[in-house]
Amino acid sequence: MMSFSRSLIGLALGAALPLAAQTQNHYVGSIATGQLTRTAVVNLTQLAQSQLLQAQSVLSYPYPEFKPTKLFPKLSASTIAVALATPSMQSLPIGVSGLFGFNALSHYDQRQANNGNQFSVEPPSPSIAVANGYILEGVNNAVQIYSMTGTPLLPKVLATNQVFGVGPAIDRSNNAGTGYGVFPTDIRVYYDQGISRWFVLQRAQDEDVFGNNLNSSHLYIAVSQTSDPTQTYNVYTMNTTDAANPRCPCIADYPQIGSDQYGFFVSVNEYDTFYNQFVDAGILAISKSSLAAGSLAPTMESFSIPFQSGYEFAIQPATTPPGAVSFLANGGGEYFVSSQSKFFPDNNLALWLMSNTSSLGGAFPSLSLTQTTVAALPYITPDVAIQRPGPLPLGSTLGGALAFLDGGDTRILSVSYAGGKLYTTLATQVADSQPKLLVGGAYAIMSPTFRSGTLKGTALRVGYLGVQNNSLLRPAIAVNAQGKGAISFTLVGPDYFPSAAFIPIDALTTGSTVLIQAPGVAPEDGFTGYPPNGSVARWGDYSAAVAASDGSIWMGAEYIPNGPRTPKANWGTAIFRYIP
Amino acid sequence: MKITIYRPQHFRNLISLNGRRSGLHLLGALAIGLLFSHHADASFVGSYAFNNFTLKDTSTCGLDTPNGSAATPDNGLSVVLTGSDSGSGCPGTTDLTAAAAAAGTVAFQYSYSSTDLPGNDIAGYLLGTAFTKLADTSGQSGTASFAVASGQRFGFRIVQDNQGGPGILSVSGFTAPGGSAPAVPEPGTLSLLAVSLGVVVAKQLVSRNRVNKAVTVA
Repeated sequence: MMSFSRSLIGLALGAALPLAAQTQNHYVGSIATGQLTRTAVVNLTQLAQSQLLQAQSVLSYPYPEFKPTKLFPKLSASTIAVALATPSMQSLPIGVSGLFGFNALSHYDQRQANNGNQFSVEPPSPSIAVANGYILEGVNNAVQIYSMTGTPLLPKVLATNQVFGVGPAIDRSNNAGTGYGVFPTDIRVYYDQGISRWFVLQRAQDEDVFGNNLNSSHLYIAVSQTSDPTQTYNVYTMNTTDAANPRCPCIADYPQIGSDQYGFFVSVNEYDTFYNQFVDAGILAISKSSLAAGSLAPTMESFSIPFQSGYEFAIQPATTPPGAVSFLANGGGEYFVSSQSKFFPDNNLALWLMSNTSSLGGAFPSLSLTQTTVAALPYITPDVAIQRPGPLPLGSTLGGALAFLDGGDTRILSVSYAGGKLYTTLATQVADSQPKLLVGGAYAIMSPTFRSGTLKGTALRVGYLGVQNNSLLRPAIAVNAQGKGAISFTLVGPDYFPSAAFIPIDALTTGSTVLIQAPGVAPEDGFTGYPPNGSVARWGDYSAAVAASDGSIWMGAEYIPNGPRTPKANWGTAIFRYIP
Repeated sequence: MKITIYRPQHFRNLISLNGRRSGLHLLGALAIGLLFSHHADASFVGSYAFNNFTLKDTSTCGLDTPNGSAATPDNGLSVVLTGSDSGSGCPGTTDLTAAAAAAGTVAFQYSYSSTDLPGNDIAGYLLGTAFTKLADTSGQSGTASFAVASGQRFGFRIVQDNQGGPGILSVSGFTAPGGSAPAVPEPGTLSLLAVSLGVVVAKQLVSRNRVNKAVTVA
């Protein structure tokens, strides 16, 4: 059972400091070793090869094609004075990139995985990890591994149910109506350079064989046994119901991955299973050495962060690119960044540091979490994005019009820590020169410090990303050890079908042109954008960007490719490489 | 040694002295130019060429990957030493040192900048292993000099905590024994100076001839 410690000590401890001092909030965790346990061992190549021998299932009766739309975990927030608060931005021109890239996982791949014993899922939540000549991509809820030239290395796309060693999301050969299994979602993949291990992470709300949601949930983490992502993984499972919390049973939504020298961190948003109301934020700190060794019960400490100031939501952990170093003083530390989710508009970001992470190497870890705020730039929840009109094979059968695309919210979407700087992105509403309200991106490059127990941060450079008359969705940043990188996103609007695009960035400069890598060929035409699901199609929820050991930046973004689709959706993903 | 007359601007200045001046004026101007050029041109050349300095990063954390750097943005006129800011939070040093070519006095001007708060990074000079603090607050500048023995290592150091932004020490007007010596040009320099003087004298003669012709015509 998940048991997030709930301790907040010393609000506003900085009150005695000079006026400019940043308020410090401190949290303590509780040892949670034993809550995450090894439950299976799987070999991806063997699984994929075994798929080749099985006939593709085409039966769908009596099961629906898709599960109820994924949890839409936005917090309700004030939208007072939205128009007045919307930051105006300098529209960037749009060009063509010409970089190397390839079409990666699509909705068709996801739906056909595991012999078709899958639901149709939107959005894909693309995630990539790159190392050792491999690219691991995960989408809801399937994985593939590519060579650096884009060649698929698994003979079949795998469902993450297979990766986690659990039954299929839906057994479509079961005509008794009792074929429901585990429905994992919110996928994240990761490669940790320190221990040379690959990770696949998802969460799931439990359900019975009839597909009814149960008041319990689990987190699944697959950890490779070697540096080869195509081979064997240890699968860890954790009950995330948090039944001891009076506001639960809960699910651990929006799990995010980061790591420092010693710890592997998973931050989550706890939502109750009854009303899908946000309860609080949580962070799991797991010993990397335990995971690398294949421990049956890795050393772990958990933190529960009560929702008070509004920054205790979607606390995004930092990742450190190859060649850079994480925070090592104070026993090691992991930085996190979050944004305001309670009161809008806002121009601050919350900076978090979990210190003494080296204690995860012992049996009794004693980590400490400190939070402060940093003045950054105004941001406000974006509205939806408009699409360029085009053919709607699904929409025309459902009586739906061209769907809007979900613009997301202002949660932090990515954090990279290199050379003592935190590079982070989020979505925000922006106004172009007309002024027309659009979905855009914002970035902040911050310099954090942790001295004598005091956490401080300074925004070195901030800015907006936007283009005239069109929107940029789900910006994700990655930089290499030299602080040179790129931000990937989806470009969409009246002039563009959803397209994968990016812009270079480093500590001192931002590219002058948005570069289209993979132009979309049609509008998004998926089931989430039509009745009975409404008129706003799910999109994202992320783009992907990671740095490789050679300093290149690999990116992934959702777009509409010219490729096979299913009757229910047409999304795809592009993976591409930028060399700063 | 001195690189004065390798610089195009100085060369232009030399040859721009036209024949309307007397030879004495010309030589006087050259001498004055040499004297003044001492301050502007004292630099990291010869024995103290930038490449003869050694950059070394240290950190108290074995896992750290410090990223201090040094550069000369103006071909040796000045050196910029940037302390490490790896983000580790671990104390360390970034040194740029060389061996003294002779005994004597090292002198230089410095300026310090940083985005970090005062006192978190410190810049100074090294004499052997002894560190002398010069600045720890962005905007500080000044001059410094110290005596070195022949062969003794000396140089510049940033003491840092690898977070909050690097300390940056800019050094200019650098002179050191056996290196830049304004009153004793190197042979190559003398050759070039002689060539330059020859050009000027030739122009002077041409100019005089023109004047003489003019007088003749008149």
